[in-house]
Amino acid sequence: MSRYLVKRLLLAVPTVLGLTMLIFFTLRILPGDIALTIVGDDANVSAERLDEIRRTLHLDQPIWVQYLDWLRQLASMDLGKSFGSDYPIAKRLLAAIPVTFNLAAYTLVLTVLMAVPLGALSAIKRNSWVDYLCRCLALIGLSTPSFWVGIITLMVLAFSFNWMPQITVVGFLEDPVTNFSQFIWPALVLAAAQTAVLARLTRSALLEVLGEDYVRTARAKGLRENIVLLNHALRNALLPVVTLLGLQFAALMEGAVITETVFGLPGLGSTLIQGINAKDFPLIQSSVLFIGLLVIVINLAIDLSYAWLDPRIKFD
Amino acid sequence: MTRSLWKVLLVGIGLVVGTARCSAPAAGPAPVGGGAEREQRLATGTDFPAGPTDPAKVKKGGVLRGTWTATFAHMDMHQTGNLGTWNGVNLLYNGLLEWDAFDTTQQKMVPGLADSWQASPDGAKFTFKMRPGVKFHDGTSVTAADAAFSLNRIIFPPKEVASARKEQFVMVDKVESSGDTVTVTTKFPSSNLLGLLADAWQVVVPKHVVDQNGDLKQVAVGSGPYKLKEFVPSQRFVAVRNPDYFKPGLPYLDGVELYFFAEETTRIAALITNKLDMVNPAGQGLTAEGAKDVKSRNTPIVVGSTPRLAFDAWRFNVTHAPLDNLKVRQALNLALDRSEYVKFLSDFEGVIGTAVFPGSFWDLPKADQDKLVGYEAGYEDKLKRAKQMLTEAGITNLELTLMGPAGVAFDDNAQAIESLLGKVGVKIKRDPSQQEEARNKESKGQFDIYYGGYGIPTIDPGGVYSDHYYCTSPRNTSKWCDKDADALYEQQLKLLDPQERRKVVWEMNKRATNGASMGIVAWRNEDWARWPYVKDWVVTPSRYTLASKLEYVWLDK
Repeated sequence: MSRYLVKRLLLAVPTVLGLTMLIFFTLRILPGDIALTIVGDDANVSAERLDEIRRTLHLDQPIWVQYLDWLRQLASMDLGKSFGSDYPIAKRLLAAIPVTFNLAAYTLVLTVLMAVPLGALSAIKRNSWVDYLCRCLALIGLSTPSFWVGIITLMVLAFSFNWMPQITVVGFLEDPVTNFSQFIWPALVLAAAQTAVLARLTRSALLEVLGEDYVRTARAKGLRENIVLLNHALRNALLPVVTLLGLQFAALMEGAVITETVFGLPGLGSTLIQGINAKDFPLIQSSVLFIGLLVIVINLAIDLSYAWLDPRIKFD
Repeated sequence: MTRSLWKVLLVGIGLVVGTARCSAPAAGPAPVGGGAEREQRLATGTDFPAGPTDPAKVKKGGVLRGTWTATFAHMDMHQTGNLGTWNGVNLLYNGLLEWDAFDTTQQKMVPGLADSWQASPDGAKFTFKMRPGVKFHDGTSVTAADAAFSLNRIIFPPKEVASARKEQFVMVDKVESSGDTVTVTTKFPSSNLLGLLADAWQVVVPKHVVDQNGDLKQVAVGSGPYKLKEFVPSQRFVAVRNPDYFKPGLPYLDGVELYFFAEETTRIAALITNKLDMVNPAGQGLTAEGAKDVKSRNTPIVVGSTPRLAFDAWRFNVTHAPLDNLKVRQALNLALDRSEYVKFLSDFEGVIGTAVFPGSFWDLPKADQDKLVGYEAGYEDKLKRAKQMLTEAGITNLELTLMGPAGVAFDDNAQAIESLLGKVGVKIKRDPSQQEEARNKESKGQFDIYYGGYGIPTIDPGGVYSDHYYCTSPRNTSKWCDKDADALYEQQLKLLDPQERRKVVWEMNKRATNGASMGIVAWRNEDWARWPYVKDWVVTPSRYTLASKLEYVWLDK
């Protein structure tokens, strides 16, 4: 297992390097002028002054010099400062990441609580009205755009019930009740689509396992049905489910931009969008790199969890 | 089966007709023409108080929660014109003098950090006497040396300072301080220096803080009614009351919290559920549609629409043939009749005007405005003249590229330009771009016609001209250059008598408008909303007045 872990970590190095090159060079070919963004709409600034701004941001340097400077900064664990505002990137991300993590955690818990029973029920009561109802609900969740669900949810809460979550984010440890009230609605919006996907996967995975010989043997031995399902079938059906959960978590951590925007949550997604709008290269680079690293780590964690879920799996 | 088919057909026809009716340009509200009507609109706008409430009746305390725009650069007011910076950071600073908070005509200046000032008889030397006993937020005294340092930083910036308003002060020769006075000497008599100094971007900053930090991008130590508590770019800006503010008893609020919401629905939801006290046009306001939405809810929220120093305009690139031909440009201006044009603009609220703020002291009399190219009555006659002028210029099958920032506003304006120019045989090719890319392309002259929205900081009549018509202005992206018009601009800058100055301003405006390089469509209103307990909050046409410092605002709850 440790050899496998080391191999995977070593493989991550060229991946991360490739990622930095992709992020960095893609940004530099985008149109737009950061100097104009910085001076703002109501300033009348000469071309010389705009050049001065670009010089202070080292944008006049050759592109490969800028890239190496950035790598040097990363190597010294310095994420730099925002273009224009000089606001420390690390501070910005440290504020945004917990918000997105909070949202992702709530969403995953809700997703698992809703999807696994729904999928299992659908598999057990295959081809019954229960199965059709579950699949129908899954399809509705899958096909309804989350931005629409989010806006409608917010409008119903605000305009019909005159209620909206507190606009300043409160940490879970600080005030769990307020934290719950802030995140439950956007989490439900996100969980709707996630549940649909996971429920369908749970159903198909469970159906496959329920057809296996060992399940037939377990039933033939006279074990109760819920023991057969929970102890034998579901556990083995969880392998693909866990994979998907991990990928969904990674996707959530990339920032559910639209949901964060609709509910006014200052998470990673909305921070990234603001960085893109402001052409804040350091912020965009650091955010995307963080997301990339997270995906690599999560994938590794998923792979390692297989050994725990299925003792037959061994790593070289 | 046949009956069902007929029903389906009828329904289908009904849908097609209904959709076609819905997509026709909506007849917008009738634009306000001008004259006394405009002045009335400017002076009253809405039910703003004429002056502050008697302090004995004010309920002190509370935190005002408003909106904040995301376009935040940094906190150094001298180095940016960014509205996100303005909205929050202006609470923290003062200038030598300021535009009165309750004057919606923007003609009255009041003392700020200077408690008095004098102009020399020749109008070329201005002496400001500093108010004694004023302190910065760190407890140090505000001195004349700090004021002189601040003005020099704006007007004669050192290499490391990218002053955002240096070009506005071309008339200044030097700035000096001695004792408790600051003296500004100009190269020629200046009629607008005081107005420019009252523009609340021109704040006094502590020299020792700049020396210590290099700049003020991440630090804000002012003398203003509020002190910085915290800010997170594009999320929130929080300021708390300055208990040592030099105006006794002010501010009334304990603090101000400004929040950014990217989505208007979220903003409105926050306002209606009372998570916000106001939606502030200096930060993020409301669209006209959003204002209607708020009005339609069963709440006591006050919704208003007031004139702002912002206008929509198209500009022709006069370096691109045949737009270098004055007659061609004038012909196109004739076709782009303003009254017809605004009918294409969804949610239009505003007034048709020229290059000075409509209804202000400097505005052209309506009779004069109606003689300008593009403003005359008689649309059909204008179309005929336009076609004739284009024919005489040998123009046939003209196709022009229209560029601008992508969005609903661009689409509306593009439709207007396409339809109206189409009537004189001109084809338009649309080239919308992302906001910053559009500005970039505009600055590089990569357009035939550019549509955009613009703002000016003060009602001063030179504002639009100096930015958009003056030969060497960086924002004159049309590259139109009329030395005689520039001479009029420079002349009016030196005229100290307002009546005399106004005559020259009128001539300057007429020349600029008839030069037809830039067509100002209309000066827009902006929509805002507040809960009724928010008192003494005034929306002045310019954002950059004392009104935005919220020092008189109080909460009656």
